[in-house]
Amino acid sequence: MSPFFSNKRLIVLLVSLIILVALIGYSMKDREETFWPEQFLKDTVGWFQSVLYKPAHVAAGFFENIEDIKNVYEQNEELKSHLSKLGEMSQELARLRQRNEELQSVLHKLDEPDLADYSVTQAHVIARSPDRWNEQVTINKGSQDGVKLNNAVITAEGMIGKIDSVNPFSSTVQLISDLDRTNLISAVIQGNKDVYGMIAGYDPKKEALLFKLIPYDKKLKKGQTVVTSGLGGVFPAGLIIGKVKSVSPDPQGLTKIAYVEPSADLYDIYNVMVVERKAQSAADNSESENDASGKGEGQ
Amino acid sequence: MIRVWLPLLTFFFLVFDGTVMQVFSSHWFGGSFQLIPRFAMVLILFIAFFLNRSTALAYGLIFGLLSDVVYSDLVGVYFFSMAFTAYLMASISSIFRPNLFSVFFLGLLGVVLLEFQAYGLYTIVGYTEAPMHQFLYDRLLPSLVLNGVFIILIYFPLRRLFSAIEMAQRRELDEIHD
Repeated sequence: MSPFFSNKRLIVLLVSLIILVALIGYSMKDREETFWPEQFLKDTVGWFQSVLYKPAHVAAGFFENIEDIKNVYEQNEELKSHLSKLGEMSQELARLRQRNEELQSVLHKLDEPDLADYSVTQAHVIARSPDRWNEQVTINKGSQDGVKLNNAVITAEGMIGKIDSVNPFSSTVQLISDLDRTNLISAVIQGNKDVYGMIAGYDPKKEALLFKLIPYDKKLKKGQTVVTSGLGGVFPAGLIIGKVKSVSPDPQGLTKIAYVEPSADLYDIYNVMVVERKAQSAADNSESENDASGKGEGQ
Repeated sequence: MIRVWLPLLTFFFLVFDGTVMQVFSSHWFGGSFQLIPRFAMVLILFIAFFLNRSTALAYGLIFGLLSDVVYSDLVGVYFFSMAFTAYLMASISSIFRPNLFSVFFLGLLGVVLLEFQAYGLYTIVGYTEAPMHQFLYDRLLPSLVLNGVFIILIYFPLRRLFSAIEMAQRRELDEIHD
């Protein structure tokens, strides 16, 4: 029997290692558009994935329903108590909305689109990366349905990620729990005084996002809501991200880090919404003016 | 025609890994454990054990590239590691006669090799910061249980398929000789 690695094979191994490094280097670049054979492959496999994912989801949902039946009574009581408050709240909402419009028209701001305005495309998840190194899901809508690169992706509970690459009939979503260093969200902690900062990174052990760049003298409480600020120029303002779990000083000791528990379940995702903000960002304007390849400062 | 089943089956399990397993793992095995299905790789390992080395290498290259493109934005990691694992395990397995025990343990060894390569490569490029003990206990051991069960489940059906393929090959050879 021949040995495992003869000289010739060793050379082949070395060459393939070089190819590996080259391929990884190429794909780690921030690519605006994916190569067309890649898009074709992703779309084709995506069709098979959607065929398999839906029945599996329905079957899993069936088992979950059986478990849900156990606590229907408690849920019903709770919902009834919420319902009695609803009428009151909707009345107040209508009153506040009217007042807001009045005030905005006084300020002549109505023709400018609000940072919080967005349009929505409904989509389904059709696959998830099986190795949990890439926190990435695939959805069944692509550029043909108006999905664009860097759009925010949310569920009813909150934000789950952003569009990472777009194909004609499917696209991939980078979840907020992905450890990629370009995974940044400009966000705000709501309270008496808003605290602005940046979601940058994820702690898999604590299952919490890292909210960085908090000034040292700000006081934060557990349970405060974190939403997108819309100031990064990519996402609309006001998308719910999560709740503050704990706060600690950062390693340099100059700022504080808040651990934010995502409000959306990042494991059991099926129905999602792709969100595109209506307000143009400063980066878009400068791009159209002088074709600069400027991107938004944090996303 | 029976040979067509092999790529179809491998493709099916590649898609299965990312869809059905992901739906059920979130419902049934939530918690700190990560169960990573490597069913497509297990199928390629079966090819390495029952057919020959070059076929296994080709399957590793093709399906490695496919899983890179479909499941990650980093092309190259599985392209290399699945092909390398298939080649290495095919070489090692030629010492053993394929039966349930040898296939079970060699199959698990292949999965361990693949996991370590993926972990190493993703650590180098900074996609993960998981420490070694967390990788070993939260990820590797639970995944080995999952893939081990899968190997036992598909061993007998697959052995039948491979012997049918061998029969078909022999018949073709005979026809050529006639």
